[in-house]
Amino acid sequence: MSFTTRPELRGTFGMVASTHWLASAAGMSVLERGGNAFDAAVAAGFTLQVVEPHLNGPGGEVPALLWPVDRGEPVALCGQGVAPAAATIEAYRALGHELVPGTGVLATCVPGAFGGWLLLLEQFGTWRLEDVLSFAIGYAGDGFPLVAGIRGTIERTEELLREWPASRDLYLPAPQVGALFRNPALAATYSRILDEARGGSREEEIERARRAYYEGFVAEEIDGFVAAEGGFLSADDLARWRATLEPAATLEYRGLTICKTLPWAAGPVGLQQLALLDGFELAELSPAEFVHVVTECAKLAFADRDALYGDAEVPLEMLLSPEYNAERRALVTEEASEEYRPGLGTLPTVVGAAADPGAGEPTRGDTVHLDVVDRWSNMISATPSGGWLQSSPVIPSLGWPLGTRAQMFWLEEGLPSSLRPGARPRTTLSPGLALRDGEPYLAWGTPGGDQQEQWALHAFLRHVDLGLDLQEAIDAPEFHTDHLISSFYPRGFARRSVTVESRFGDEVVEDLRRRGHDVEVAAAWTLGRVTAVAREPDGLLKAGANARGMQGYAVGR
Amino acid sequence: MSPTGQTDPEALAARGRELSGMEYIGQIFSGELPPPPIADLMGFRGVEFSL
Repeated sequence: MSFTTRPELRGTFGMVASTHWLASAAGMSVLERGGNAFDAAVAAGFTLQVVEPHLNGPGGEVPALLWPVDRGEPVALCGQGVAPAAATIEAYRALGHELVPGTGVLATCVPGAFGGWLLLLEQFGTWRLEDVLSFAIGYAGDGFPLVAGIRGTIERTEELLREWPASRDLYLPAPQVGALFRNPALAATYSRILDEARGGSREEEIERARRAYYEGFVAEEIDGFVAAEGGFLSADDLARWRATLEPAATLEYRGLTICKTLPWAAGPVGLQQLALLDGFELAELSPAEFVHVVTECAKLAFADRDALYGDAEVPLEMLLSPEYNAERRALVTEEASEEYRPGLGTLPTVVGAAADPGAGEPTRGDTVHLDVVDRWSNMISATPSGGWLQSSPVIPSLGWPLGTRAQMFWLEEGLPSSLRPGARPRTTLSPGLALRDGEPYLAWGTPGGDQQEQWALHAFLRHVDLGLDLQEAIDAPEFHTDHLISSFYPRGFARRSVTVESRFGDEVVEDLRRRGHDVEVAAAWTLGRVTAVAREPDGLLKAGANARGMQGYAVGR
Repeated sequence: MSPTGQTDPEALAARGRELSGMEYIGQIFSGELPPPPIADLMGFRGVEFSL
């Protein structure tokens, strides 16, 4: 047995895996008190808003894939808010923008996370809102131990934070790592929502809480703040929006049914890569060949994503068809491709522009992730994101900033992801679910922007094709390409690039360079933040979590 | 058989696999499940329990 950073957890009662140990423990506590996987996910999700405010928050969004046992089918949760009614291409152009900016209130969409979690709780949970919110309110009010990533983010963006009064008051001077940090205004906001919602049935409370946010004092505060800051989002936009339940996009692969969101988010690009990789015997490839083949297939699939995906009609059935993929697969050669060629559609023109990936740093944020399976076989994978402390000013009375997700729209006309009022931005957020014989097998995912549908895919391939257990698959050396149009301002593109963890070794790096890849070697244990839970047909539950970054944990029994 | 002759700890533990922590403790309090052997041995009993 090879060394893993921690065991693949096994048990029969329940498993919670997330990007922060406090959220995993909160979710497990819900299971121990009789809650189901969805109660646990909501509690863990709200906890992540508090303890990873540089990666997500109450102003962000949440997509999720779930398997409610009572329904017997996969369901996609869309807690992704839409572009404001006033956010037209002309309006941004009139302000002198060629791209939607990556910071400030101009980049905000309707914040969808709160509505998304509430819809999940109302439809599939069993607990009252007060009980699932108690963890988040407790950590915000009484304090939580600050992780290094928060301080690092604050230090990188200190100049910007100093210009935003409420952000400055909350986050400067940069707080100490490991010490308790409080956000009393955030605790007060959620407590006031609970106070206004209290009474009557569980469902009535949830609906009153939704109204307190989207039609009540939260919407009023947002409206006033955005108007003063010169943004487009209004109280009407919030009142008009609802989280929704949607069908999943699916693909059969090696005896499993892989479920992702429809192409309003990037999920199907994972399915498209699998449809291409289905033609390769991955288990027989050397490590360098594995990286090469997976990267070349990624380039083809992401080109389709960038040309075709959005909150629009997408020919997904054709894109996942064996005929189309046989044609596309023939484009993979022994050499690293220079090309970025969608099978159909038109790429945004920015692809010709030279830009440096990561130039959106330091204000660009990332994401969190959580997976839960319970003893009844309910399963959920959720990827909350947005509302980053470093990207938009904290609203003083609320204690948190809005998101900046509109940066994923194009201000160029005629693309599926062109900006349209009321449309969802095509994000990178990609929760995943896999079924075996119509039963839920795996819930998994990762943060990582455009790397999400690479890192999560690689862990999946290593588990399913190479036979590694969940923890081995998560621990295995990671890699990704930036030979794709960045979803983040300023939308860079790095031709032939591959970044590999140094643990691959010199031989693999040299092999990849010989094939024409522009290889960057990243430090060991720096790429990928995958977590996963699984259930075998006999009721055996499993879980694994990423050790990189020293935050993610799976718990369970 | 336990040292006190009253509780089979293995059977008791097996039930715990299927129940949440709160359900498990709740059933011990209500008498549906026997107390653990340590309770017999040391002569203690639960006083308060709430969900």
